[in-house]
Formats: sequence, structure tokens, C-alpha cells
Amino acid sequence: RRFRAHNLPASLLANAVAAYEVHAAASSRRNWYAVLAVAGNGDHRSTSTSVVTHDSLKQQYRRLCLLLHPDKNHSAAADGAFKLLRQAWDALSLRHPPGSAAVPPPASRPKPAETPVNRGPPF
Amino acid sequence: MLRERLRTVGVRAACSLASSGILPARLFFTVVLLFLKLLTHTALRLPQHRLRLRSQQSPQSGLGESRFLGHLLRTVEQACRMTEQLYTVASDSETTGEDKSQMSFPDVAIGIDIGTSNCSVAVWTGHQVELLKNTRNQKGMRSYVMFKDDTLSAGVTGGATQEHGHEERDILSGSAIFNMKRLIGRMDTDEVVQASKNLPFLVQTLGIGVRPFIAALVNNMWRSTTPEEVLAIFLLELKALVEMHLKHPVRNAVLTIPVAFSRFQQTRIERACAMAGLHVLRLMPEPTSIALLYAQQQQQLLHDNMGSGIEKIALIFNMGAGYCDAAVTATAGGVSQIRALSGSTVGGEDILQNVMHHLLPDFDSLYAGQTMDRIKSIGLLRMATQDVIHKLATQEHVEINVDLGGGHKVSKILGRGEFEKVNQAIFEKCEGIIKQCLADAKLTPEDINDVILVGGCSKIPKIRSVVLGLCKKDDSYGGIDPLEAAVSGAALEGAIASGVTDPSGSLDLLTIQATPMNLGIRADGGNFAAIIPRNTAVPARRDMMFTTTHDNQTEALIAVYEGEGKQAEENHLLGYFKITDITAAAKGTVEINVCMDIDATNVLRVFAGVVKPQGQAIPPFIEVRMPTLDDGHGWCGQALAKMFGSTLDLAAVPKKLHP
Repeated sequence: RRFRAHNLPASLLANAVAAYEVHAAASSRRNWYAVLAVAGNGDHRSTSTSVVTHDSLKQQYRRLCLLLHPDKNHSAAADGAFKLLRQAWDALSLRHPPGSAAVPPPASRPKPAETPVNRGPPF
Repeated sequence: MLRERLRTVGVRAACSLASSGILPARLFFTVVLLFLKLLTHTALRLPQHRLRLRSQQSPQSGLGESRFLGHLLRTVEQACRMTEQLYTVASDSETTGEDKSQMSFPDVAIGIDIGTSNCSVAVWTGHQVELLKNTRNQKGMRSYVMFKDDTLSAGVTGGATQEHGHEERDILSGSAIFNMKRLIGRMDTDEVVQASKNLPFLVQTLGIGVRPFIAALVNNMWRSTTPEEVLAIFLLELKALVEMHLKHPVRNAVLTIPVAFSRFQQTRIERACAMAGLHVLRLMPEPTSIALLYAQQQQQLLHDNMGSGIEKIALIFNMGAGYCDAAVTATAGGVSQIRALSGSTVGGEDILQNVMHHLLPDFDSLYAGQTMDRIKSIGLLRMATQDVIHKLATQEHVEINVDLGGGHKVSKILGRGEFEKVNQAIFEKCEGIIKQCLADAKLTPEDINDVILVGGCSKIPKIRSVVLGLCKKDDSYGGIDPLEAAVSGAALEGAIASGVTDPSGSLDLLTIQATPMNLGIRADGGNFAAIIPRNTAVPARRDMMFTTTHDNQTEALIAVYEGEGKQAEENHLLGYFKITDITAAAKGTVEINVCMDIDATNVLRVFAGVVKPQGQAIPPFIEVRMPTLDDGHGWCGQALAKMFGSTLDLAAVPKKLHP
């Protein structure tokens, strides 16, 4: 029970960071692949290097739903993050329909942004 | 205790206390985290706002800078509120004893299924969902309220009667109001209200678009009431029952509602709950709560190494006494995505009325007015017919012999074939609902893995064969109790939405809801322009561009509707507001953005404002929470049309293509 009291704020903070990452990915790169590649628990680089299939996208989308849906993520940014996730999923599931060939994702190297991206106060 | 201390001490003081070693290190850690959280909250909205400003043409655009400050303030406010909640949870889990199921979850929402005829309530006990029983050991309680002298009593405890046999007769005595769920939030022009005139209590209509006159017989006098009041009395008794079981006060609830419920009807349910001292955390369409339960069972199979983990498509068909709904859901990894929803106001009550009419076609001409004789014979006929329908589920032929008094008798043998012929129109409607659901989800019967049949009417053989036939299945999904599924799902959602997590992972579930009806505004004359189409995943935000229809038009009316009709007036009017101070310009040159937003709690907000031309004194975007209408919306749309004609009209602008 002590574990619960201790753990709760940490998980909420992780949730908030995950939701924030989605906003950042959408705003700095305007790339739906970047939105869907946001992971929140460390393995987000692995998905962007492997090939993209409908099923891999769907799996990632589902995982992010459990992380970002406002029922699951009580941070203020969750609502907006989930809407971005839906947009990303709608766009990418059309581009990669079920049964389509596996393709490598487009180069998602973050281009140097025209305006410096404010990532919030450092902490 | 922890909460009080922190309130008085504050963050800065906590830091200094910690450094001097007075405050325990663990508490300090919590305080720092919360402070950081507050910081992140203020920063979180920034990127979204930036996105909006940078992409003026994109769907997020149109909401001007002026709203930014409001956003920021709200975010901080929310963060503060959240931290407060956090303390409650953290301190409660520390201070309470070992009795986890009873005490640790005081803020967990309960699940309530208010059915047209039966009602049940369930709670999350810490590791599973438990349905509560009333004092008579019933899980399903009859939904009614008895009006007797000055005392009101609901069906939760069995009303005034203590014996089972007498209850049904008392309900039909004219002194009890039931079928609240069918009557709530409906005008007297509604056909469902018209069809309710054969009930033992009084339902009078004048057909002018106001609420019907509903009354119960108390000491030979009609005592008027409203469905909201009746529901509130019922919920109050239900709440008392739950509190008696849990031994602590209950505040939050998740209720299941039919898919066919309009947003206006939803506000009536919320009002009834408020009257009973319950806060509605979520209103869940019934099949979606079953989808959540199904997702949990699929996850359980996976844990037991019996499931495959691949996506499963299920069609859920629910038919109770008052409504019938269908949903298609795609489930994998504990996430159940609602692909399509459809519903209608046909139910067991209609089947009952049809059979009653078939057994005694000239019933209406036998009695003039709502006399005691009429009430008594309606009651007897209703009970006999109910019995026949139940028996026909297992028997091919049922004999009816009932003396209605006053020399009227019904004696007949009703066969199953005849019963199905009498109710053919209802079965056809059920077919239509399922076909629409499959078409909306863009699926064929072959795609469906499981057919889930729930609700009281799912026992009727013809309903089963219709649904299974359409889905080309031999049998329905087992393992879900047709009468307890909806309330169990609601209790699960109650736990999830209250933020409860289970270490074993049995709450790592989610239902992504979809909008059951198109949402849009009146445009291009009397047409309906859908901004959020039905079956859009919630939370959702969509927008559309509109323009003026007259030269130098400075005002525009945004009339928000919900429904499936192509004409605005065929749909439910949710509310309306005006955009004023539009810069005078030639028609078709002004761009007005209308944006609709539904959040996770299903609250609908409409934003509207002028995007082009951007003048000096451009008024800020207006944000309105819907529905705004309180009552009598039956004739509001017509009154608006009569008053303003087309002077405030808007026309939709075809969507521009973005690279």
C-alpha cells in the first residue's frame, strides 16, 4: 500500500510527459509517423527504424491509446494528444491499408525548425 | 491528515522543512513531483497552441489568440485541482485499514443500469465487479416508483409490498409510474409518448411540442409528476442501497443509456442524477459497456494462454424493454474500439403492446377515459400477455385464459408463428439496425468473430435467429450474462474513469467511444451540414468553413442539430447562438469557422467565429456548451424560422485541399 502512494504521482508525471511528447512531435515535425512513434517508455526509437505495416501501426496505435486516452491519462494535455493520435492513425491507416506491403518509414530526421521550439521550462 | 498539512504548509515551506530534516524525505519527494507537474501543465498547452497559430488553414486553426490566456488559466486551474485529488488518493490509501474492498475506494464511481423495466447496480470491489442485491435478494429490481398518500417508494426495496406476487399488480394499479426511460426528455408530439397512452398511469398529450402530462393515481386524484422526478426518487433509493452495502457515501456514477438517446435526453438523466445527489462521471451507450466487458474477457483469455491476441470483431446486439441497440467493436490488447453504433426506440414494450392489441383488438373502444375499470383490465391483460411472451420463448403454443372483469374475456391459443407475424415490423427494424451497423463499420458478416446477444428480449427465439442469421453464425458468444453485462461494464468503466489501477492488469482496458449520431448545424437553406459525422471516435474535434448568404450580412445564426436527417428540421435541435459584428462584405467572401469538440466525458462544445476578413475590431470566437435548450425544443426551430427566415443563414464552403 505504501508503494501505491509513492507510485501514483510518478505515473501521472510519465503520462503527462507522454502526452506532451505527442504535442511536440506534431508541432515540430508535422509528421504523423513521428506522432505514432512516440512511446513514452524508452523504446520509441526501435519502431521508427523497423518497417511499417498496417499491423505494426495498429499495434502502436493501440498501445498509445492506453497511454493517452483521457480515461487513462489524467493530464491536461491528454485530450489534445489523443485527438492528434486519432488524426495520425486515420491518415496512416489510409496510407498503409491492411495487407499492403511493408515499407520503411520516410526519413523522419527532425529538420531544423524555422523557429526554435520551446519545449517548456527545463526541469 | 496529509492533505491538511500540505494545505497549510505550502510547497516552499515544505522545501525548507525538508532541508532542515523535519519533513520526511518521502513526503518531500511527493511535493517536488507535484510542483513539477504543475510546471509541466502550464507548458503542455503551448505546443498545441503554436500548432494552431502556425497552421491557420489546418483543422486546428481558427481559434484565435484571445483564447490562449483562457486556456492557460484553465490548465493551471485543472492542474491545481488534480494535485488536490492526488492528495486525497495518496492519503486515503495510507490512512485506511486492511478492509480494502470496503474502504479504499471511496471515490470510485458505481455502475448503474436503469432499464425501462429492470434496474441493477454494480461496484468495483478492488479486484472484480460485484452486482448488489436488494433486501429481497434481487439483483435486477423493477424500475418504478409507487405514489401512495404522501409517501413515495421505489422498486429498489420492492415499494410498498413485501410479497412478490402483489408487486406486479401494484405496479399496474395506476399509482405507480414506470417506463421512465422511455418517457424521459420527450415532447408530447413524440410517437413513443403517444404509444405510452395504454399504460395504467395517466399520459396525456396535446401534440403541441411541450412535455406530456404524466400523473399517478393517489386517493382517486391524479398527482402530476415528471420522468426526471420519478427517476430521481428511484436513484435516491438505489444510492441508499449502495451506501448501505459499501458503508460509505457514494458520489459518482457511470450510467448506461440507449444509443438512440438524444443529447437532450442525456441532460435529463444528468438532472435526475443531480436531484438524487449523484454526479454522472460517464453516460455509456449500453452496447459499449458490453464491449468493455468483452475486452476484459479477451484479455483474461490471453493471460490464461487461451487467446491469440489478434484483433477480434464482435457485433453486440442489445434489446431490452424500451430500446434496442447494436454496436460493432474491434478488440485487441484490452482496447475496444467502437467502429459503429446504431439504435432505435423499439423494445419489449412494443412487442407487449402489439400482442395485447392482437389479443383484444377493440380494447380502446371498451372503456371511455382512464377509469378504474379500464386500469384494472389493462393491468390484467398486461400481466397475462407478459406471461405468454415469456412462455413462448420455450413453448410453441401457449393458452391464454383471462377474465378482465365487466364481462370481457380473452381465451385463445397463441402460437409462436402467429406471435412472430404480429411483431414482424419490430423484427424488421432490428434487422435494419444490424445492417446499418455492419455497413457503417464497412464489414461483412464473415468479418465478425463473435455475436453477443444481451437484454431481456434476446431470449426471444426470433430475435436470436434474426441476429445470428444476419451475421451468419450458428450460436452467440457465451460467457456474458444477458441481464448483467451492461451494469458490469458500467462498473468497470466507473473504476477505470475514476483512475483505479489494478496491479494484476485487469483494469488495463479502454473503450474508445464513437458518436452515435451526426452533429452539425443548419446551413444552405434548411439543410443539415454534419460537422462531426456519426461513428467518429471520441474525443473528437472537427471544423468546417461557412460563409454568408447575403451582401453586408453582419449577423449569423448557428443552430446546432443532432441526428440522421438531411434536413435540419428532421433532427434534434440542441441549441443556437448568434455570431454578431461580422464585417460588412459581399456575400460569400466572409469565412466563418464552426468547430465542434467532444471531450472524453462526452461534453459537446461549439466554437464559432469569423476567420476572414480579419478586421481591427474582430470579436473573439464564441464558445458554447451544448445543449443550451432546456425545454420545449419541439417548436424552437420553427419559431426561429418564422422570426428570421433566411436573413441569418449560412452556406457551407467546400473543403480546401491541403497538400
